[in-house]
Amino acid sequence: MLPGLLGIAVFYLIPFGDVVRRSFLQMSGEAFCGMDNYRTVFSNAAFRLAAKNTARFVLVCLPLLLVLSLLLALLASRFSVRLLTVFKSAFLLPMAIPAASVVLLWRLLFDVNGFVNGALHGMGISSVDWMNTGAAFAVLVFSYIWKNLGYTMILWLAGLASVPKEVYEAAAIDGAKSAARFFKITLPLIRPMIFTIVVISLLNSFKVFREAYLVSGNYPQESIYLLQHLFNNWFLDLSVDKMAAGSVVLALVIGLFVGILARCWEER
Amino acid sequence: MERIMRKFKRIVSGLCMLLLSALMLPGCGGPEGSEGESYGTQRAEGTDINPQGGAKGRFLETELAMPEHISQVLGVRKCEDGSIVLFGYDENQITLYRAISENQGQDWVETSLEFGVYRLAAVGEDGSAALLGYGMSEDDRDVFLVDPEGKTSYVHLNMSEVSGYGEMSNQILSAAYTAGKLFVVDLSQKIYEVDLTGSTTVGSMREFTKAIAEDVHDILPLNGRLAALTSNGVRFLNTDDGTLCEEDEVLTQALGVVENNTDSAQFSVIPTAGGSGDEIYFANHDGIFYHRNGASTVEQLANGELLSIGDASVTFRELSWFDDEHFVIFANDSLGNERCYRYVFDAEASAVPEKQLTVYALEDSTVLQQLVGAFQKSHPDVFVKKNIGMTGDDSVTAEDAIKTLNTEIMAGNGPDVLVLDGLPADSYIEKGILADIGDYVTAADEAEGLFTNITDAYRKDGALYQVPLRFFFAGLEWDEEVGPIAGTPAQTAARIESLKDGNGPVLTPVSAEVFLYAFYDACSASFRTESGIDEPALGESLKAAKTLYDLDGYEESERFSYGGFGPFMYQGQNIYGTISQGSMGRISGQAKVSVGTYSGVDEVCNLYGIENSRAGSFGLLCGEENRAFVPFLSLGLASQAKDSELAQSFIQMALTAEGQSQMTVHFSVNRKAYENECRNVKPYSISTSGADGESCGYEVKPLSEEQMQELTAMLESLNTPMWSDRVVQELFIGEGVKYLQGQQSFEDTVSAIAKKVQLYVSE
Amino acid sequence: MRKAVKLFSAALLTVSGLLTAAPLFFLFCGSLMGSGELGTYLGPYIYHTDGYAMWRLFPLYPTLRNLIRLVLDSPEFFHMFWNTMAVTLGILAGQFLFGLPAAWGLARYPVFGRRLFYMLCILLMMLPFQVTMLSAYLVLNRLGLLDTLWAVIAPGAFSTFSVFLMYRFFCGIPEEILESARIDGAGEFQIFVRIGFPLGASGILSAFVLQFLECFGMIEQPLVFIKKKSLWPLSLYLPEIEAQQAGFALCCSFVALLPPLLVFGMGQKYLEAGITAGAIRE
Repeated sequence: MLPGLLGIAVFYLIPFGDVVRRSFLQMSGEAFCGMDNYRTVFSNAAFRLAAKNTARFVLVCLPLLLVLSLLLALLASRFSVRLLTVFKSAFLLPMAIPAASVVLLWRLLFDVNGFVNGALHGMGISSVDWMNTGAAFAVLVFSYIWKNLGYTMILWLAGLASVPKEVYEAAAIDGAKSAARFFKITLPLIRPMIFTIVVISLLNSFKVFREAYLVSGNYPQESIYLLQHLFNNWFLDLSVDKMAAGSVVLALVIGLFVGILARCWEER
Repeated sequence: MERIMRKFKRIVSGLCMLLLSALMLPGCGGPEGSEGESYGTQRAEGTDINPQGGAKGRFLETELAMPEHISQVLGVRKCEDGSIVLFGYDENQITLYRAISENQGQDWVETSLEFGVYRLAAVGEDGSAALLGYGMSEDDRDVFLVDPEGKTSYVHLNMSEVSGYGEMSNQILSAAYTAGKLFVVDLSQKIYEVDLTGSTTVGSMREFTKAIAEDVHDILPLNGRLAALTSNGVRFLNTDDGTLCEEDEVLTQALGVVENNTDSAQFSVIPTAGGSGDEIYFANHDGIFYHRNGASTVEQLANGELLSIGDASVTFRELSWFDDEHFVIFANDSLGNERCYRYVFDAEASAVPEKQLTVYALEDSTVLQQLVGAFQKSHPDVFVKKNIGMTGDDSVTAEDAIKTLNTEIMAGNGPDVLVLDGLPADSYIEKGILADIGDYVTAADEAEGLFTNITDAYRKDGALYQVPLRFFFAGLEWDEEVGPIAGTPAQTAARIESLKDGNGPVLTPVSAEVFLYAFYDACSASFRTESGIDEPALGESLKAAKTLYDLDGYEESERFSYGGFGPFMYQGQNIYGTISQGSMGRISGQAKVSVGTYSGVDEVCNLYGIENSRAGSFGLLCGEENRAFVPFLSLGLASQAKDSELAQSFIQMALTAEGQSQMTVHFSVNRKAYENECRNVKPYSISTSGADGESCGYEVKPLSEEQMQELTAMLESLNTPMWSDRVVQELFIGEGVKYLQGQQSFEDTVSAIAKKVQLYVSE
Repeated sequence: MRKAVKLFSAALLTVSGLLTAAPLFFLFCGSLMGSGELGTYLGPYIYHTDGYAMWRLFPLYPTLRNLIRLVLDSPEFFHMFWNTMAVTLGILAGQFLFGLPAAWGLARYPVFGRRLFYMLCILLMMLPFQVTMLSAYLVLNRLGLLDTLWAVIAPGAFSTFSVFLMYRFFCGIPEEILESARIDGAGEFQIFVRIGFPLGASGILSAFVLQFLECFGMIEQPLVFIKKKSLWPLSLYLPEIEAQQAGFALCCSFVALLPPLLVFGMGQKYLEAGITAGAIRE
């Protein structure tokens, strides 16, 4: 296990340590500048916008995805194994599509003259400029859900299946209603798994940036201007100091969030 | 049931696997199997040159003087006896000369021949030659034969008429003279053999081969065979019977294909035979190569990056092989001058130059190549490595390229000299990436004189971090009848709009992008503010562009979409969207005003030519307060340059007339180079067909002293650089196109641009 | 009533499933269309003329020309494909050798600071790539790995995401099993090979499947770490949809998608086992 940890240290921890170090240094020269970079970052309008958008995106997407996939999982779990497999495959497919191909599809779908508008037009609804209005946010949410619904659903299914039948039976004998059964028994039992699901979903929500970036570039519609866009642009401008400080802030927030989750849900 | 399903699944995935591996098979043969592929890769990547390597031996280049009287070459070839025979005209294109060199092009013996109008000379192995005209009409079809002793005779070609080419009944595209046989290709794009035997003075033409079905564009004698450039690549024919020779895949691939299927396609790679019968040498922009028939590899003898032939604007005439250590190349450079280079292998020279200088540019351009070439020539001990961010043959975007560049700079692996066009120059200056080059600019100004209004535009507190080598600007040209047009964007647009009188179109039909680029070039300085963008000024420019775009009511598909209009999309010499192209419409009465770019001295010569045919005058677009110019090829010196002395001398040289002597596009910041260009314009004429089908045209001449003074005053009056920011420019053009084409409202466009620019600035 | 609910949910699942999978079908059909046919359908998108891009279920004039062009005339496509394969296999092998034991160790032994390390792992896998890009570049530069496939393989081999997944999995193996093995006198290595490995197999495989998908979508890393274009992976080969190219572009996308799809098909059942290794079986 040592070489593995060593590798992680070399390729991830050291670079991250370097980033933390840089966040306290001036960009030109190596002069220590204390919290200056952090102050600059917090007073930066673009950072505030990007942070707001990112938070909004995560707060909308994460619950939506979790609930939707859980519902689907509950629905799907009523069916026979064979049907279930077919459903699962269909929902999992998007995950296998590489980013480059997704981008190609998105361009065709959400262009002003694209398929979606064509379909809307067919239904008598006026067309929407998807990528250049507030609708871009919806597109982003949709693409996240689309891509991750299947996998999250499967994780739920696996979790549900791991609850021993006897527990249910015992509960049924006690006369518990199905909703109560679910909230009182199933969810608490699979709590550690919820932790994993949330962490993976959160991770995937950060990956949406790639598609957003490839579809609409460095300066997308305001509502989908995420922290990654900002970091990217800062790097293009060689503002490594700001980028480092910004990402340390992001890391702290994620750390806090995951830490709380872990404390609450994860079994030791 | 489930079992069957599973089995079915397994079969399906098995099938998929099979299909997939079948798909991959030809591909996996690719890299290892055919060596043509490896040749291709080599070309795509450029050759890695490692200056630390201790290997010795390299071809050194010397430029030889052309034969004294000859300034235009019709044909040249090295003969079997080792002499070079060359045919050409003098500078007045009147007297025809034959020049022979017995010592590999170093000394020439010239004899003048009879008068005649010829287009090409096909020289045979024994030094005899056939000179051919264009063959467009009956009286232009005499072939002038010159035997090795200089005895001359004529044969008349019996060419058949080819329809579908307008007035032209036929034309000779290419000719080859080998083993006493003359082959020609005409507009029917077939190879004919001309019967020269017997005493007749009429050469009957016989279709030479049925083996090639596709179109033939060019032919060359090669090793007793005939190499034919066809639309499917190069084919080799036996000269006796016209049968196809066994195909050598590697060579075929190396010699290339016809890229655009045009009639005038020519060999871009010149092959020549050498040594024993099955050895072939060839030269292209990548260098000089060797190939043995049937071998699976192509060997690079000399690296084009280190030689004058590496300039992509060079066209090749002939590669002469003497032995494996001596070559001569005849070529035509970017200015159309005939050149002769001799390559001698020096076993003592290190295989690659000891010193290396890295020059980074987001995009390659001919101008940069020419600069690198000029520097290389005066510094033979230096290898200038061009590091190009976006080569265009992959999907790398400007952002990707800049990201990589920034990473390299931060890691200390950055380039020595940066071409700042399209790069975030302001950030680089702020972050201390660039060094002060103010002193070199001042020195160059003192030595040869610079347009300091351009070069010092970015000087702040005496320090200067970027200096453009060339520049251009947006302008207007108008008919004498409509009078001068000037003022703010709104005034300009209103003035042009008022010319619409139902009496034909006012403007040349250019695409939305062309209008937007012109207005960005001219007005971006006026809507730039300290903290972002001035929305009213931005709106005014957009509205003006929209007014002009809508004025004549053309459909977008009817408009000229001048590819490569902007400075960042700009490649090579093929400038489109220049103002004179629009103004040509004025001669034929198809327009009254044209909008476009002043792309250099040649451009202005064209404008004067046009105004000579039909009175008019020209000026800046919206050039009241801000007389804006677009800096081009701005150089910056990296503060962490590895060999900073070398990098400095590169920038110093770039500012001299010598460094810019090969450049042809845009205006030079060096006054001496600019004046040379003004005086050395080669006269030519341009004709076009007018609205009524009648042809009209004009003459291009060097500028008179008066015209030159007028132009100089105009250049000196420029006072503001365009807002050179890739992000802002892309936003302006991208959103602007939607507005002009009616997909987006005015308010939405202005707010989309302003919001994003605000965001950009606030980062 | 129950039946109606079931029917309704079946319908719901079918419809949303179809919608989710539709784009794949679209790519497949598109790759069988000639540029003429595609040009008609996608005209509004490509030329920005009026009207909307359209589609029909099956190509009117199916053609294999795009596929043939890809197979016969695009050696670079296959060259890049093999680069991707090399990278993918390298990364997977690396994870097998290093990531797997690391996850096992973290999960099963009370190493000092393992909790902190684990949290850092989660944190690091969430941070956007461009944040650590420069620093990672410096590390790779120091190690002399830049401009080789190793520049992409090495960091990938130590991917924190896989370690996280496998760690979660190993955590689910009840301690009692290991204890009883220890009592039987099995060495630690033996326990790992005999018990941890087989019990965690589906988790390991699911991590590998996800990693495989990740490799096929890698864009930023090779772009920055590898300058030599001959070493670029397939994910960087994305022709623009131009008028003449539309069918070809779709075809490239489709073929590039086949290997992940295939691996997916084979690995799906492990994915499903996902994170469960007997989680609550005690």
